[in-house]
Amino acid sequence: MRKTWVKRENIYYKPFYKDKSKMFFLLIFLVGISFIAYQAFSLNQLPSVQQLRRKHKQMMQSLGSKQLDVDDFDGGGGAGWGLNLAVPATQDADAIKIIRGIRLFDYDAYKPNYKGNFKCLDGSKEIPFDHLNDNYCDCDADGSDEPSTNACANGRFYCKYQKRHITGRGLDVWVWASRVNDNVCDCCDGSDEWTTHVKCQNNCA
Amino acid sequence: MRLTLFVCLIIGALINYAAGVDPTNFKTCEQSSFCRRSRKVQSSGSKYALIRGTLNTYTDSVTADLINKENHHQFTMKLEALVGSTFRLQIDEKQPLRPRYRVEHALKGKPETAQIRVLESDELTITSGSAKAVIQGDPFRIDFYENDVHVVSVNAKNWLYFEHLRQKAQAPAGEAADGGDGAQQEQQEQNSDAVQSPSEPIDEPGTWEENFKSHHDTKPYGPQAVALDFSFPAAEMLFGIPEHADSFALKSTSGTDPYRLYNLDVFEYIVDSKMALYGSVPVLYGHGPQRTAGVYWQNAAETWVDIYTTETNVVSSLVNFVSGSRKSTPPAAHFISESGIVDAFIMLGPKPIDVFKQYAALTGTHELPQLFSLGYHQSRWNYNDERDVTSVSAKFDEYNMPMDTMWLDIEYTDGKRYFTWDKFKFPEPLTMIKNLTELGRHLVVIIDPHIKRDNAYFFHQDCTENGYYVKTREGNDYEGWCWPGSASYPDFFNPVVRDYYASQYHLSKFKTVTEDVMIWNDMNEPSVFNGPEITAPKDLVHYGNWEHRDVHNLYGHMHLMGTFAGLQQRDPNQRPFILSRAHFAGSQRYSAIWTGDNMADWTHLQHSTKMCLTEAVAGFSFCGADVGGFFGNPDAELLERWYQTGAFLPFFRAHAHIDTKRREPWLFPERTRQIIKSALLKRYSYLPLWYTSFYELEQTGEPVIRPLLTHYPLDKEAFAIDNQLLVQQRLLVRPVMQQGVSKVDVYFPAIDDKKNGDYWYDVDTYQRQERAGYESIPVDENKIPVWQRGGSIVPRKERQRRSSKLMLNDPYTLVICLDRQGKAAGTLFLDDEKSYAYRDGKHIYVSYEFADNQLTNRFIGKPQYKSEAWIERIIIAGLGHVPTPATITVNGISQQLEVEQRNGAIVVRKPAVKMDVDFALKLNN
Repeated sequence: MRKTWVKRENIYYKPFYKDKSKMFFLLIFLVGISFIAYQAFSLNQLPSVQQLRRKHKQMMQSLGSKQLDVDDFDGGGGAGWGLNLAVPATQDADAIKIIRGIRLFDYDAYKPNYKGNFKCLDGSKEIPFDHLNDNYCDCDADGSDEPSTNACANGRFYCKYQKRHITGRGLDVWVWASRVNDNVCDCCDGSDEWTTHVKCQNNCA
Repeated sequence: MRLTLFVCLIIGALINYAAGVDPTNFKTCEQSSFCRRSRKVQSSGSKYALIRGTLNTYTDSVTADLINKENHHQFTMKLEALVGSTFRLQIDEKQPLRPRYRVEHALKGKPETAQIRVLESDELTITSGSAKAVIQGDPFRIDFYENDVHVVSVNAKNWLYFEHLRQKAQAPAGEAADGGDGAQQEQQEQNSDAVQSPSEPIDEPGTWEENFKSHHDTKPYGPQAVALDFSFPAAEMLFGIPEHADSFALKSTSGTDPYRLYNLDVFEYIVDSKMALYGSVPVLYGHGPQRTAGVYWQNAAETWVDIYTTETNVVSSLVNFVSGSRKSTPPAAHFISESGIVDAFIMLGPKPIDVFKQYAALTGTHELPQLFSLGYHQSRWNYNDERDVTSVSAKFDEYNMPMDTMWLDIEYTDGKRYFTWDKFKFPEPLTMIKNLTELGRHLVVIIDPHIKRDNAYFFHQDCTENGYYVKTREGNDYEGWCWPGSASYPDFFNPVVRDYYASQYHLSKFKTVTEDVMIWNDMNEPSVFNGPEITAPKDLVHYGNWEHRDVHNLYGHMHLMGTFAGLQQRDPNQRPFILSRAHFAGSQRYSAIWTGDNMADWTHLQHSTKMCLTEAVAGFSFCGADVGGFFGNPDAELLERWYQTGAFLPFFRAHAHIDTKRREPWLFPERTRQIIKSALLKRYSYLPLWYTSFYELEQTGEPVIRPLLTHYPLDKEAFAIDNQLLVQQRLLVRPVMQQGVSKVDVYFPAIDDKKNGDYWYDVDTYQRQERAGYESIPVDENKIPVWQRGGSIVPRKERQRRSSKLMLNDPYTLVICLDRQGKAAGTLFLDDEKSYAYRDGKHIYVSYEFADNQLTNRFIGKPQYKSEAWIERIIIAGLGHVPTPATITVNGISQQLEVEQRNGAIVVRKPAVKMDVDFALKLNN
């Protein structure tokens, strides 16, 4: 029998492309690459970090800014009925609207419930959602239906400026609802004076 | 205000220190020679008659001569008719040795006279409108009729007593009257050529000079007392003549000293006493179911008033039994004054409110105060320094309690030199003031009339150089002892001194305050620690060469005139606020008053309503008591109840002595703090009512707080009630003023004699009282028993702020309580709450009426003030059904409003109409 020299490598060598599973992985890899490459073409359409920051700033400023003429509720009280309520003219249609004077913790509580009503935070009463922040106190016990106005004696107004540890711990910074729009700056950022003409300085550290 | 250890040191050797005042420091009638002499006439009677043929008739008055038939001295009598059923009677000597003092500046102006018709027969009948006076010649007597009902008699008891001025008789040789000291010797020499008339009786001791304790009164002009009696045939009780710590109804003085009117600084005054206090308002009213009448005895000298009533207490019934007098004797008052003339205004009513208005027409009213002065005042002797003031103000914010005004007592000054600041405790007053005013708060500082005798003090220099001080008989500046030590007293009777004083308030002079800082005038009786009865000697000499004896009770009034002018000149656009302790008739035009240095006990709390009711009918609606009591430390319960009471008196200030423990609300447990806070909030919610009431006081003269008899004159049970008060005709307040009670008896007055009453609605629960008579009302520690009258509408502001100034644009709540017919009405006044612009019509004065299930408003005058305020809710109590819903119509546009039920009332949610808009609100069944 003729002795055949067999190259050991040849016996065991198998080109990688002959391996099905590897081929499969390669395919995925290539598809991935091409997807990323494809994505890269639309990269310039994504917002820049600066844009994101600006947008965030706008949102936060809208909390503290004066809204003497344009507002999403009848803050002036008397001018109220008989006139059309002004439509909020927000520049960004998709900006998140945080109700002035609430804490973010309660953000979800200030959405209409399944009946379309607002439930006072202490659960004592349920009122139509349009009575929220309409400058008339309905939740007499805790004043939670008027977070932005001074209508409720027991209400609290959470200032825009909230000093927080990076872990989210910290005390809420708030003033009595009676201090809202009373011509005296109480929040360090002056966010409690938002329909009056008093000029507040920002004293927040 | 503050007489404490300091005084005890000064005159301590004389004071036998006991609990409260030492009555021996003050004269009794027996120790006061003119009172003793004048009172004698009550047993002997006097003989005065008109001289026939001396009658002169003018269009508005008659004059005649009067003679004392015993000594044949002649007098002139003038009876003048004034508009508004009022007569003025003046009696003076025909030819006095020297002019007798006539009170100036008390009346708000020259009273308007009225036409008269005179009918002469046996008697002289003078008619003016529905008022009629009938003069009898011998004995002299005048009867006054209102619509032919006999309401007042003058000299019906023949107690007219008029000591004419005369030269002192030479002491008969050998008789050394009263030891004959130097002054008397001098007097004798002066009068050496005087001839004693043979008819003159021998003068009793004390006639020509008088000693009290270590003080000597030289009496250079001798006896000059005047006295006259007034009977009230249509009356059953008498009230008035503040200031006394006594019941509203005057008590009979038979067997006791008369009521005394002499402005005095009484240390720790006692209650249920006829002793004189800080103020003197000689106006007295007689009230009966059919008629009410009044007498204003215009005399600024020391005055005693004897009261004769038919009240049946043990003493008086015993006296009546002994003296054999019958019950039918009408109540009477005997006014006895040390000097001056008889100058009496007889006001004929017919109803209580008419008499109060007639008196206001003579002496004026407080002008509309700035709203802040109706808020809560936080005071103490003393807030020590700037940090103290700032931190107390901050603490009120921390505990979310409203507070309007911080007060600084004497310690803020540089060594009691007024118009200066202590540079160490208060280095930067302007910054401190700014910190307060930025929060809508105010500062009030004290300015007293005593001036430190310190040659380096500009005020003393000016006064000395220009001779502005009150003089002694010898013509030197009078020196007394007061807070600064040796002190002198400016003579405010001199217009030049008043001008000088007023100019000191100008911000160019008093640079360390702003125009928002208001003034507290204290110690202006005047208080002189080393003087007789802790006041100035009577023989001091004032401007015009008048003796202090003649003008004593006016000294504080003149001081106020100077201050008021000063504040008006300082800022002509701001209504001044002044608090005074001394006062006289007419002082209400310039200042608010308080009941002085009371004590922290329950009886003084009870007397705060009694005293303020009497002050209110005497013109001083703007009255209050130191909440918590000045001397002593109140326990938590007393302090709670005092805050609740003070919240329903017009002037609401907490004040305390320097030796007491600090008592700001947060120093007490949580429970007390909450009770005080809710009392404060209740006060602030009613500010629109207080403010409207004060506007109406200025317009009409109707008092802000009133005794029950004002509107329930037929209900005899209500006459003497002085632990309840009415705020206008809208609220009935019966503060809890006893310790540890769980219920109080409240009297609901009857409108007729058949025990029919108004409806009264509890302001917290809207529970209705329908019956007149006593009702036992359960109270807890939080309860202030207050009812709103059915038929009234009360404006409120229910939003809470840290001070009243910040409430300017806050929305109103209207509380409508319906009467038996389902009707109600009420007014509301609003303006800028600060300036005089309301006098030019820059205001909104609106009347709300509710009838037939419909609420409408009607403007009184044109609404010219632009207000941001609006109506936030309307509460209606007493409606039989719950309407659904309500419809409001403005300018022809209608809108549905939600209606909800709360307690026993219904609430119309958010009408949101501005205050100057006409609207109609209809309740649908």
